[in-house]
Amino acid sequence: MGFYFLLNQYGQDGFTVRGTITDEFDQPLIGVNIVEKGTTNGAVTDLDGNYTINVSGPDVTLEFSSIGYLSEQVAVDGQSVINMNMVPSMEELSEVVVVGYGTQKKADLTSAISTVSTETIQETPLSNTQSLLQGKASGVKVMANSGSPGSSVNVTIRGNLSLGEAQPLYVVDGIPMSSAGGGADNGFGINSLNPNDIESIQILKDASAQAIYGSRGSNGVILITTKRGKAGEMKVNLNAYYGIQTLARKIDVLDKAQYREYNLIVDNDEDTDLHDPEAYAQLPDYDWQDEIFDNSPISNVQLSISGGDENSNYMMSISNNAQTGMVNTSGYNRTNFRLNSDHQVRNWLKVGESFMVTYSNRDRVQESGAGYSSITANPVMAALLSDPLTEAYNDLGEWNYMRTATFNGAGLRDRANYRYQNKKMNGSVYSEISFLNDFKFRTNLGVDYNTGEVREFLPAFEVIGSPRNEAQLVPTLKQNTINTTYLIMENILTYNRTFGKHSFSLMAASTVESWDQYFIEGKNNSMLSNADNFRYFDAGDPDEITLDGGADYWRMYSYLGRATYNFDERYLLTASVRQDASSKFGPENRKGVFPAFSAGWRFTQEEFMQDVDWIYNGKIRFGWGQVGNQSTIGTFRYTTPIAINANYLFGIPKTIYSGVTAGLNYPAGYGSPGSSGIPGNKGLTWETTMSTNFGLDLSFFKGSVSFAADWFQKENIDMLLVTSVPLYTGSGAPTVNGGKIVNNGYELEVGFHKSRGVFNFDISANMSHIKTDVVDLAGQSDLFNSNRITAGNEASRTIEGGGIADFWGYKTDGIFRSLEELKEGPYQSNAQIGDVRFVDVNGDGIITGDDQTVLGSPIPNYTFGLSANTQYKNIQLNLFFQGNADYQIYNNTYRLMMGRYGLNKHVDILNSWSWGNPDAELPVVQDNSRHDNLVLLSDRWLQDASYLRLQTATLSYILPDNLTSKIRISNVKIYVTVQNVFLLTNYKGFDPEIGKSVSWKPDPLDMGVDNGNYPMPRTYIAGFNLTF
Amino acid sequence: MRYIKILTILSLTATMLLQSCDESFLELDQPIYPALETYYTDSATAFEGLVGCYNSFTNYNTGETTLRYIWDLDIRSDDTDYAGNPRGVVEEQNYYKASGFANFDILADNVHAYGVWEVCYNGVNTINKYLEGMNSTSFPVSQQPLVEQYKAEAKVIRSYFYFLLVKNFGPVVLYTNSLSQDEWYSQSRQEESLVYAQIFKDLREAKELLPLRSDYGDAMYGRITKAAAQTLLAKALITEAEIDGSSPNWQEAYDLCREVELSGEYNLNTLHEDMWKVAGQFSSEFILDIIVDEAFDSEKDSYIHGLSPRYYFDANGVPKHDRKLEFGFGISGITEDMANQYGYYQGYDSLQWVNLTDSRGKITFWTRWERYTDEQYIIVDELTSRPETTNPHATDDANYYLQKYSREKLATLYWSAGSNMHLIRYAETLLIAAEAAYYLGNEEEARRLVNMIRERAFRPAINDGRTTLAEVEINSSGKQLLEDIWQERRLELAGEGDRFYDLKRTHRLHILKEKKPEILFQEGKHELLPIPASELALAPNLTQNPGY
Repeated sequence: MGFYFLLNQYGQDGFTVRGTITDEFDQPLIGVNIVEKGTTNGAVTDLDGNYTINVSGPDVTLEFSSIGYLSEQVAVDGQSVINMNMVPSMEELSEVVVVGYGTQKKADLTSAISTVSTETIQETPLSNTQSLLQGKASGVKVMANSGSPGSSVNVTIRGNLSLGEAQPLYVVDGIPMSSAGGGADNGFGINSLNPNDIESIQILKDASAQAIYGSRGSNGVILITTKRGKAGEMKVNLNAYYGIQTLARKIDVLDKAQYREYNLIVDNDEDTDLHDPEAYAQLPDYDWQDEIFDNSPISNVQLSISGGDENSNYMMSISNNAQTGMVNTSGYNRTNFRLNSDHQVRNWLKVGESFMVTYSNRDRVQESGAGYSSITANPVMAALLSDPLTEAYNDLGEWNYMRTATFNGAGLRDRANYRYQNKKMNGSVYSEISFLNDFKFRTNLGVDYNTGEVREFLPAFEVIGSPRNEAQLVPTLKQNTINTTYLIMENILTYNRTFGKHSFSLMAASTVESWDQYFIEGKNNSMLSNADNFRYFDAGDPDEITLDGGADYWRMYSYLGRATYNFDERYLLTASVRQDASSKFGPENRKGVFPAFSAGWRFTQEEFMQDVDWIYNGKIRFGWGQVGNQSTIGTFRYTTPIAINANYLFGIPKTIYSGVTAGLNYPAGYGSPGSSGIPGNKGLTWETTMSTNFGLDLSFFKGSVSFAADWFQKENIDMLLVTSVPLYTGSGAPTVNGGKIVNNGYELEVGFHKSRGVFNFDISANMSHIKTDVVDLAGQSDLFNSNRITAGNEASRTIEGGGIADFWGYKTDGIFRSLEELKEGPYQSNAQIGDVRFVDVNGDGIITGDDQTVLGSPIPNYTFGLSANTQYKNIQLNLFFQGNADYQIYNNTYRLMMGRYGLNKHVDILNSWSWGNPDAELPVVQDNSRHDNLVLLSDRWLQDASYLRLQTATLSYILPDNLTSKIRISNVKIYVTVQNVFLLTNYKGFDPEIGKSVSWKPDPLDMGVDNGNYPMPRTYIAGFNLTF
Repeated sequence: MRYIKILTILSLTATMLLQSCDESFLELDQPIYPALETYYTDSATAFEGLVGCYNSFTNYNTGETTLRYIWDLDIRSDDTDYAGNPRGVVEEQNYYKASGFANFDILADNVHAYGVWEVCYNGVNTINKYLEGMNSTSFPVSQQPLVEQYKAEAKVIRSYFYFLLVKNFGPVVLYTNSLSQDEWYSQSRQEESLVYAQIFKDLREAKELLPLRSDYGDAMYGRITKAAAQTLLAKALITEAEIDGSSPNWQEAYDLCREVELSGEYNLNTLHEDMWKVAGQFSSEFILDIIVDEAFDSEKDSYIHGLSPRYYFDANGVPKHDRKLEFGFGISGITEDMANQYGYYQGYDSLQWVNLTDSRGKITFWTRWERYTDEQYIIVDELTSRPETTNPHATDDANYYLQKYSREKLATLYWSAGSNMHLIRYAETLLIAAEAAYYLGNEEEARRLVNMIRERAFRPAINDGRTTLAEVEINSSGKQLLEDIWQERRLELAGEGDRFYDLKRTHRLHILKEKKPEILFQEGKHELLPIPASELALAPNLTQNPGY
């Protein structure tokens, strides 16, 4: 990144300037751009920091710029040697930032864009691109859905504004990366990218930046730029690390002695061993968390080769990331290849490409789902709910049956055989033609081809004697393949011109996109054997095979344009507009226009600020724009489809005739696109987000202290939602435009940079606050209940006047401790002394369903991150903290661990009320069918989830030059990293970072419920980075 | 020069690109699911859509059977009574509010009222969508008559649904096109006369386009015939006018029924006890049937499951010795009042059956003290030994069950009875004609028609000499004749879902409270069902029926 070609070589026989550029440590600085001011004539420094440039005469001015350093302008004044010591810039004002369909200088930006830079990416050995974003930029909320290897991460930019799946649009090297269908948790999307290939990430947060992506930008746009070769000697980089993942936190469950104590308190007569001290002494004291969670390895190897000359450059890399989960049948293995190159074919023609091929394999164990039996059929949950008196295996090495009606967690783990395989090719080729000095015409052809495969084999097994009846008599196999092909062609014409202090940039482009998907799914419920080589369809009863398949597709074309103008880098204006036409909508509603406007005033450029030394840069920004969203609905929702399933009989004898119906509520088959849209809605169109952003950028003291603040409001118009219609329409629930959600909030970013010779200190921090108001749901509040805990009991609901997926239920107020208290309070049926006292919210004197209310929210009100980097000579220490505050988790695991006897318990239960323990804080533990303590969803199971985590601590050492030069290695860095070092929280589960449910087709509103979620490991990593 | 070349290339490229992006690029066909607007192109596809319309009689793909409610609704009458779960059980209150029909404890969220409303409009929407699709296509001229006939069939089915709606809810939402988004919530209820006008219009047009049953032949048994449209029209005519307070068009009703009689397509040759068996389900008596078959889809005729008694026969029809009842909710039981109309008195004398000369009694109900096997009813033991049940939905607190539609043996599939559902029988055509003839002043014709019914009902007893034709024939006149025709309707059509509407149209609903003073029946309220409460919440223009 950041070098120029000599675009205009001829006719420059005037004057030659040469020199050496050094950095703040007097080390040569590579890749500094030197441009003759007002021209495109430029040069770039080589490995030794040297440059040579032919300029048109001895009186010109040279501009020196390099990312991370303050740009300098030097009048040549006849000097033929100009050496320069560049001053680092915290502010990176001269940095070129990738915006949609182009770049802009950071100083000239007028919209809200956050950047995650190369350095930040390199500091964090992470296998997941989405995790890289966590805590690194304000306004970006990143919540892991699960700690299982390869699982997806939930990324939200400036809050949810939609009731559907609201993922940001990822654009890699200018090409949108298609997230293939089949659920969010399959790794088909952005996680197939190798984070080490990433040069920088830009996050477009407000509509004035997003609008250039039109109907797909409203959930935010994440622009990813991958690394490219640089002119100079070939560089070989080898980066490898190895680590161990361990369980970060154990939950205090009852041990053997406590288990007995507790069971005696609750009069458990079922298990006679509890009442026989001698027999009890013979029983083991088993730690199920130790059984289920192993220390497990993680490794990563990456080799990249890059280089180039003035005309061509290349970067190729191969990497492998392998990890085994703490639950050892889960794991993830990904291999990436990448090739990026650019070629200056003629001085007016440049071509190049970026290509990636990825192969990944993800093994899963059962994770949280809905409904009691499937929740507990989860090894993580089983680790907590299994009694401490039973070992995982018996003497024969078979799975032991449990004393109580739980699953043997080791069995759940050992049997797991869900494999997600994914093969992706993603890339593009381009050509760029320069003409008439100021024009460029660029054509991109991009492709994203993905084959995802899910294979699920359930082996036959039996746990002899299990009270849970754990057995499956016949093995079953399910396998599906989803093929997705996304093609895009873009033509972009740009014009840049500077007249004196006026600088213009115009861009016009057209894009054409097509997306095709087909899938096939087979099932055989009668397989012959569990043997590994029998886990294919032919090894099953051929009569039991069922086969489904289908296809889906959409097309889109767009025209877009943008104009930016700045006067003296003081007054900045940007306006853009995009028109989309999408096949997802009917002919009357296909086209949408998305305008945006933004303006900035760099008041530090004004005359009156020239004497104010301590303010280095100051800018006020304002942006407004409209962006669309069409990702929350499927295709063909505007048509009324014919369904082929309405048969009838005629005749003597009766004979079946096949019939069809249209627009009725018929069940949708797996993945059958559009079929569940029921009646077509010809009027359907995208939802539109209108957003306003005010921003302030300040930096002080030569840029060593920086500050940025943004305030925004986002308002959703014509929100897409599945509504219900009156029965008299005879139709099922159609998709409509209706409803409104408003988000507003603010974001702060601060930075501090101090450099004293060999000592370097950097700190940057950010925080965001977002508030979401559900204003209007087209009167459909009842529809948006989610997080089913038990049948008919949803832990959260989205209602008008509330937030998205607010927790819902009864408030509690301690427990009843006396007969008087029972008599005084509002009437609560079934209540006895020792029971939970529910709050009579509506004050009608009786506890009923009407007393349920909003109890909390799974969405953090505050999100923050802090990164501190200290360097002394060759030693570097990097600490990264991250956290979320002011939100709750519905801890369903804890609820199950606080129930009646049977399952193992949280140690808290020893503090339960009983006649012998009347001062206890927690209610009596009794048969849950008689008391409402457990049955009713209440704030007892909501726990404050605010946390602060030291996410990574890295200590690295760069070998001194005099050592490395002897072995002809230019750079050696060795490092040790600990991830998830510590966690400060009051939360009583494994980890309060819980995003969305990870089921196959998750309900987008199903978030913040801990159903024994796979915990985040603590990882110890050691690695090195060699550059030849 | 170079720039000129480049510019030329550029402008060419740009032009090409812009042109390639015309609207056709976005015109896609949905995979697997063709679009309604373009699907019906010939008589073959049109027939598929027609089959889909018929399908709305049976299964709406929700696992629920569309028209089981027809029978449940008659629990309001004095013919049938609720015989399912004990009243007051929680599950019962939530799911099977048919119990409320028995004593008119009907709330605005009554599940069965909701169900009738829903399934009828599902049918209406299916047919509207079908007609919309058909009307957006121009068929080849040679296929036009067939296409018109298909549309006529669909309209008869729609009329059936609107008739059921208007009888139960009074003014209802009326539409004959598919609704667009801005119309979904804005509908209001239309006057009954407008709903009837639509029914009459559809049926009058349809009957001219529909074939006779013999034209269809055996292969198409079950299709909507001319006679089906005629009888349904006659029935709607006499129902609407009485509700409206005006005088029915007795002449048109009479003429319609008389045309059916004169067509020679139907007769009363089949004895009752044969007609209600699987073997007799294709009798020449049936004018409008819903064709169901257990072998085809067990759920399609699950109305039996809701309607009929629990069974205690095995797969061969042999009574189970442990007497455990299986299957069937038995929601619709026969009242003692109804049973007594045939001259049956509760007791243990097995000879009572023999003494019943009206063969319909034996087929209309059975008692819980008896078993049916080897073609005979056997009185079992004492009241105290009534069978126990393994069916959680059944408690067996009814004494008389509807015997029509009862299963002859334990079906292989869970819910099935294996027999067609009979919506309109020829006997009803004759009874409408008899009533019309009476009002037209032709008492002799009325007696002729009603005695055709009686002759068939008593034929077995006449044949074996227990009674004579003269003894059973009706000779009354004047008001008594009308009462006799009404009574004959009750005896003949018992348990077939019409009694409540008959009482309503003849302004005799007051007898319900006279017979059972404990019921909550209120005049001016319970003639109609409540509009489902959820509808009122969604559609602001809807109004609730009075009293709910």
